Amino acid sequence: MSGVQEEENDNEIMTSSPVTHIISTHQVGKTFKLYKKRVDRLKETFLPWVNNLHRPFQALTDVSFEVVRGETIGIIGRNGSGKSTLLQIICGIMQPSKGTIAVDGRISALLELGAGFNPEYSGRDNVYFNGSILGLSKEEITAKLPEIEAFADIGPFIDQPVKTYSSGMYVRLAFSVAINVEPDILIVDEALSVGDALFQSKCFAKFREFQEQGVTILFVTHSMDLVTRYCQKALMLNDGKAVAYGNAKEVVDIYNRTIVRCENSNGPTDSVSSEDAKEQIENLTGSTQQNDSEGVAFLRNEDENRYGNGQAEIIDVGIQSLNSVSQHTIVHGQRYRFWIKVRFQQDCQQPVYAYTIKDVKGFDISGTNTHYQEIDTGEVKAGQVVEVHFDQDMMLNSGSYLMSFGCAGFVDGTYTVFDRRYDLVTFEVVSDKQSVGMFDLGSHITVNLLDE
Amino acid sequence: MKYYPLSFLTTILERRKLVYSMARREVSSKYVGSAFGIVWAVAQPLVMISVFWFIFSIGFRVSPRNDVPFVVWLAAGMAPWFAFADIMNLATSAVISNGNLIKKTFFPSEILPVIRAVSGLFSHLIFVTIVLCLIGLMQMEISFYFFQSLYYLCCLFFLALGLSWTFASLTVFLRDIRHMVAIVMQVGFWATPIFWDINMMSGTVQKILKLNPVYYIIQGYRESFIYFTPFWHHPVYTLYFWGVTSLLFLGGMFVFARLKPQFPDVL
Repeated sequence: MSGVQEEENDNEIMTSSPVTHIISTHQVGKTFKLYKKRVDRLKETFLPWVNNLHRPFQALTDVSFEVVRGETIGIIGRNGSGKSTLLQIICGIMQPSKGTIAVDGRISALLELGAGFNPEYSGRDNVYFNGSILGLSKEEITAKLPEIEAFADIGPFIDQPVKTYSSGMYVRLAFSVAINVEPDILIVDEALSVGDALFQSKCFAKFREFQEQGVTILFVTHSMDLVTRYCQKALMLNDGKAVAYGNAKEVVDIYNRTIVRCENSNGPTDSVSSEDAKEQIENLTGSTQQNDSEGVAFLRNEDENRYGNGQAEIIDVGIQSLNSVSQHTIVHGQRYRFWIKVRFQQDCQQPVYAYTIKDVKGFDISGTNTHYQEIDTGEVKAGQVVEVHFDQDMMLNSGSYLMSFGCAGFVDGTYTVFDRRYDLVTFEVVSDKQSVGMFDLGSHITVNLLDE
Repeated sequence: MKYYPLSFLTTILERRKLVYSMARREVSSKYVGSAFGIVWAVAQPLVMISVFWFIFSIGFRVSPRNDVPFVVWLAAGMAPWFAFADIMNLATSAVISNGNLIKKTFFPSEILPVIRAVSGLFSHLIFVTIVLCLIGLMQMEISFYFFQSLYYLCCLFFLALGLSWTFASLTVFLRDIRHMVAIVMQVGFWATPIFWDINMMSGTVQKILKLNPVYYIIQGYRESFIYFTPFWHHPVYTLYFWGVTSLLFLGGMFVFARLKPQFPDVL
């Protein structure tokens, strides 16, 4: 296994020894056939002269990648990019329409919450059932049951029908079974996000343990932070194509870059064409310093809540990195600029510009405005455009945040909102440092041994 | 793309414990939550036999045939039919009711109809027990030929399984199959010589009626429990039955294997 370590950071592992590659896919493609009627599918299957009743839908195209035993791979991509289809193919649930896939080891998959659970039966019965689907004997499951119960930590609920479980209990039990069947490959599809923070941290501790034991982990997530923190490698899918595979941090950067590109070129649409993505990667491999103007990654929220009298209009916003650790990912501790462009429809004295950051639960975390900070914003004439910069160190801990911007002012002595755009953008902070809570006070810690 | 029907059989053998435990689940889930549980499993066939016996014996005054009490003759014929109809009706939903397993776990879906067939055997066991009780009650002769019913049970299983694979997989794409099967089973009960004697009919009609492979099993059950005739006494009919059953069995495997890869796309 000594050679494996050296190869790990190499994106282009071309050797195909079955010992090192626990999963290898070669140009895997999946075309779904869409039919108007189910009967048409039957006709096409059994009548050799009928073959034109379907409309093809290309879910995956030429996906080739190899996974070395013991690696943890994050699979990222937007909704509909083919992540789940790929996992289903790796698990053997679906057959690829093209290409080959080789998997060498026992797979334990957590593809959906409570798949393979019968809601009428008790947790314990379902553990046996799940175990027997995975090919374990009754005795083997009985032997593992205490461990499964301990990890799931659902107490006496183990003997209650699972239909009475909360979704958190569901995922705890399901995950507990999945990890306790001694898999060679563990596949987790977003399910973990249901658990609470404590359980999640327990799961990730288990991931670490698995990594040490040489268990391969594939997991799908939308949290770039989890990918950079736990995965050695990441695979990015876009429109069913594997657009990037390699070092996790680099792939996350590409991912964020494509999102920015999408924001800048296509406006607030929800699709990145894979041509765009390809171009991004070519740019990246050419020179990392290009396209500085693109700024860092954030998503524009389509369901923003906007109000105001329209006297001024926030026409554009953005986030920009002020030092060059990563151009496209918001990294904890680095310096960033939030900027807004405001076009005024009427003359205005001393307008107020503001931003607020909330967490995903809607709790206000931080915010400020030019009025609080007593900044002279001067006089603006109708038709003029003002650009405002808010520069600060990103002291938020890793996680997803929502950002609102506003522009207001005093009209005839009354505070009037010109344009307020709530939850206009979401962004994600990644961190390579463990910490508690949402905010980092930047504590400087000294430890002194006192011996008197 | 290649399919190896034989791999079906090896999968069933390899996963026989899973088949058994899932079949047990299915049986118990039928009675889970009901206070009397197993009582219903006995009550249902008992009531069915009583109703038919009452209608034909008391109502239509059907006389005992060749000194055989009508109720025993009737029950021995009803036993395999109801097992067969039960399995058929259960099988149509075998795949569609387990969509979650097929889509989200690596699960050999070909065992699902097998599970339904095995779980159907439970009520059959009760039915056969009732037949044996009736035989005891009527103080009829007891014989080793009783064990010949196991051979016919085998016949029933293979016939039902082949059709189950076909119906279970077709239903995924054509939900109407479920209702069609239910109606065919209804009609089949009246069109198969179960509560009426095949000898009532002319020779030609008898020949046509015997084309129904289920009748081979019904006749076999009666021969095992009442008439004590070995199955090799009608070799042609036996050959015919196994010919048809093999075709249906292989055909079922073929259809299922052909459609199986498309299950996750549709469910």
